[in-house]
Amino acid sequence: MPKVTEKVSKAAYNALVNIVGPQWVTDDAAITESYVKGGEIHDCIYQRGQQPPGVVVMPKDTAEVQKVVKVCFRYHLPYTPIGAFWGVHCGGKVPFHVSIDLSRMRGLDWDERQMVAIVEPGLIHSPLQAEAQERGLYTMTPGGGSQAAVIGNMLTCNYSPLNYRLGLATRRILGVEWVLPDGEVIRLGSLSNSDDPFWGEGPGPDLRGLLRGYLGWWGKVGIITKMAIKMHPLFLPERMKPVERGMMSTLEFPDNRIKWYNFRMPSEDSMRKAMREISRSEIGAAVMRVPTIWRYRGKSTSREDFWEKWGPDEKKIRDSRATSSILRVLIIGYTSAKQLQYEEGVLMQIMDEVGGELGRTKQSDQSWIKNADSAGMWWPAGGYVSVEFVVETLEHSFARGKTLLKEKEAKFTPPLVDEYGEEGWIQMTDMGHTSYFEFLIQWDPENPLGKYQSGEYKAWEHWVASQRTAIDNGQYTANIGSLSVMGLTGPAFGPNYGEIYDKVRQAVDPKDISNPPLDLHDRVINEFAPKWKEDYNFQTWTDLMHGGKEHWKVLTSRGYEWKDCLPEWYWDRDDKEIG
Amino acid sequence: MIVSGSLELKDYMYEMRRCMRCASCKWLDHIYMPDNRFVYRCPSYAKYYFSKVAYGRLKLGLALTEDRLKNTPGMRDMVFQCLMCGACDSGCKRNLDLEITNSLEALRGHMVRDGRFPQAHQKMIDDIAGSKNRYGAPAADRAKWAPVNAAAKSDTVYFVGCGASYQDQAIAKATDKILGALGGYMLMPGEQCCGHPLFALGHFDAFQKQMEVNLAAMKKTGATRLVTACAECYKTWKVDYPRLMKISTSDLPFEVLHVSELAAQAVKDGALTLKNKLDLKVAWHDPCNLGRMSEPYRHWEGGRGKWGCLAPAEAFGAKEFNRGTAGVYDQPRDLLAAIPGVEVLELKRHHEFSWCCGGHGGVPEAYPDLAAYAVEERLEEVKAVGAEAVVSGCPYCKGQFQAGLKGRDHQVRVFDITELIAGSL
Repeated sequence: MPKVTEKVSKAAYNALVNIVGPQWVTDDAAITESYVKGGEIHDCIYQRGQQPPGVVVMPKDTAEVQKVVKVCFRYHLPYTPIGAFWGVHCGGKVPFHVSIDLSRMRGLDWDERQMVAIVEPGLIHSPLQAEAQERGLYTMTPGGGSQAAVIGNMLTCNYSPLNYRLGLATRRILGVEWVLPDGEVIRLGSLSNSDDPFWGEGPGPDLRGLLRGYLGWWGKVGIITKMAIKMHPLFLPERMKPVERGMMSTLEFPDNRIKWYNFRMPSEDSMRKAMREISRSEIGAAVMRVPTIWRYRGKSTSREDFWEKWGPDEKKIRDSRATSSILRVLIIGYTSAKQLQYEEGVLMQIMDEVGGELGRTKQSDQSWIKNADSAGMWWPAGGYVSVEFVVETLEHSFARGKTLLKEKEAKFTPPLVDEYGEEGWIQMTDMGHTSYFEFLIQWDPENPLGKYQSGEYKAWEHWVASQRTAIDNGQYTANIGSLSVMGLTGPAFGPNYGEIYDKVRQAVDPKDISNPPLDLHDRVINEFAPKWKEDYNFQTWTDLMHGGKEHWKVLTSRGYEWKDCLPEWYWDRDDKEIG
Repeated sequence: MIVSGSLELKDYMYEMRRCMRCASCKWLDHIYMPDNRFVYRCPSYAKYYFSKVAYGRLKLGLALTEDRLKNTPGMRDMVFQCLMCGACDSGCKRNLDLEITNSLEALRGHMVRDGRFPQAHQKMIDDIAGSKNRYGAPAADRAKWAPVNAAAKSDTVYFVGCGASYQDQAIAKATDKILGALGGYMLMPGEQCCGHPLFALGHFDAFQKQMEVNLAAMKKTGATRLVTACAECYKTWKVDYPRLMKISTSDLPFEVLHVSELAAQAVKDGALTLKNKLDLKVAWHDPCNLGRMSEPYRHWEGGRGKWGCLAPAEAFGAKEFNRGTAGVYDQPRDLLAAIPGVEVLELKRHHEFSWCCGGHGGVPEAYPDLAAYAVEERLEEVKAVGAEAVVSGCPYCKGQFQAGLKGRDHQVRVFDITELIAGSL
């Protein structure tokens, strides 16, 4: 019998062993040590403060999950559910927590006629896509990567360029089986009164809304053990062929049904106009502005090769800044080759009007169909994080990019990688109703610059400072981003999502055991506050979290009182001095 | 300053720190992901789960190097329940480009130096030291397989290896016939174990001694070419010896070839004709040590510079290496396809992300459950593609397949490629 950890009692450990069998429970530190994220994720932003679990348990099905959760509930053991252990929040934050590793649950069932896949939490995207295509269906591989667990990813963002045509993820969830933090199981969608998941709507209130949210889930209100997901009819009569191997492996597109177009645009205005017009014309499968650096990355065959090309090209790229970001459009002939021809014709008309110049591109799966190389984000420099990724308006995307770039170049570059004036990744979503914006930064984590000059610290600082710029420039986002601007200032702008979410959590998880949220901001701010206090003249928590007086000027100029703008819990620490 | 093939764990800090658990070391290449059945590339993870895969082992290595962890009851299994098949390495090269296999080898060495290795390995180590072969069989029996075409002197040395000398002499005889048809060969006088198991198990000092004996024997022959039909011997001569000698494979004073490379070139040149018909659907199993583990070794000395780039650039030459894609893949397939009547089928996991047969890394000796699981999985794959036979290029793979078929329902035949080639001559 393995040694029981200090915090997980022998009785609780034995109870877990009795459920899953001794080979599927461990508290051996040689194993638990690796149940934290590694690389720069481990150190940066969301993952800071991660703790190795005291125990890892691997249930095989919903019944075992339910029993394991009940044991956690009975013994008051905090637990963290893990699907593929890819998402940035999936490491536990509480010492001696129980990691419920769901990797053994890779089940995948099909209702081909209704075009529905029923998946378990250990299943990742690439086998789902492979199996779907065998059945004449397809799904979306998200930016999170082919290796992301389908359920975990659907519950958070599931953002992809293909969202332009297929819509956002939560709309594709048709039903779920949900083990609540007390071990009760509920079923949503049409699963709530039958075993048929074909329809998303169930009787009564639609609780699927509780699964939504940018930071709202992350295993914090229980475990989804099954999810029914809407699939789409495959647009190709034949399978796409894998070609090349290693780093360059890809799927070759047939030339008459799916095609990439890369356009060099004469100006930002023309880029914006083109994106709008393409959406208004309801053509295309994906529409995005791709940062120059990712084109270089895509062409490089090694880290060394990348820097050899990227390094000397600064002047060239800066001089052609307005035109160096490519507008990339994917057109799919969903029903026929004629559809592709038609949409291509419309696209070319738009480009004639706005002055887009067609360039070369490979006609293959350069991420997004079956393979998405999200792990490769760490490859060029070693450290990477997205300071911001939100869905908002197209105007917001362009404006936000400028704000963040200005700050990044002025204060944080170097040590952050100089992207030569790049203003972020933008992709249209929901046929142009909304726009996805992501601002990515990279740094060399091995560069021995000292704590306050390191890339990691500057990434943090950039992230915190970006919240100030959001407030100062009125660049709020509709979904709850980063430091939860909307969560903190909700009452001023509408529903207080943070507060609502906290109430939901309290209702379903009264013991606060399901992936207890790390008070991330407190921990990080406690660590870095002395420095920030000095640099930014922050005096109080309110100053720090809300960007100080400038923020309040904005709010009060709109007629809001301070107390309208903050959730009640916030006031408990509002007057605390930092540092 | 680090050396490209360092055996010291501390020289892989970059690898251990920069691994961010993307799990490319466990999943199959996503582009080639066939279905939800054959999703993993790492047999250790597929069998044991938890974090018994490269990312878990790198995190363990980091904790050991940083002195955060001393010993735990499960640590030895965590390190040695691994086939050292290199599948993880080729996965990592797709995304993060870290030297995973080197790190895992160094981790084993670290554990061995601390005396923490499976006792089941000790017999093999003792046998190699005593009888100069991995089975503890009499050294004098090594050439009992009765070569027909061996000459006293030749430019080509056939290095038979322990497997074909003692366990599967059909491979030695078939190779004898092929090499005979290609102009003859000589045996290495006093041939001994190449030392492959010692290297794979992390016993580097013992390996070094074995290497020195073999290199001296090779030098004495005066031959310019060493040919083997064993993937493990092939990797040892082609990669591990130069690595320890701190030279590149291309700087070895002799050429190292697998017999399939030699035969494929001869068929291509018209020097060898495969004429006997064989109506058979065969699947080629890429041996790890013939494919991804046997890229020519490139020696360089330097370190990680800015952005993690290898530096200095002039020291390591071409930037794409150790990707697992430059091993021997095409020649065996070409040879099989050249046999009249043979249809070559591709397994679901092939080339650099081929699934290991389970016969490597000291696993059959210490963890027979993992070895049995790995080969059973591979046989399921053989069945899934509809092959009538599985063919490999290593006596240990063949032995694994034969063992895996015992008492099971699989109607699959097992061959070494030399047997089919020799049979078709």
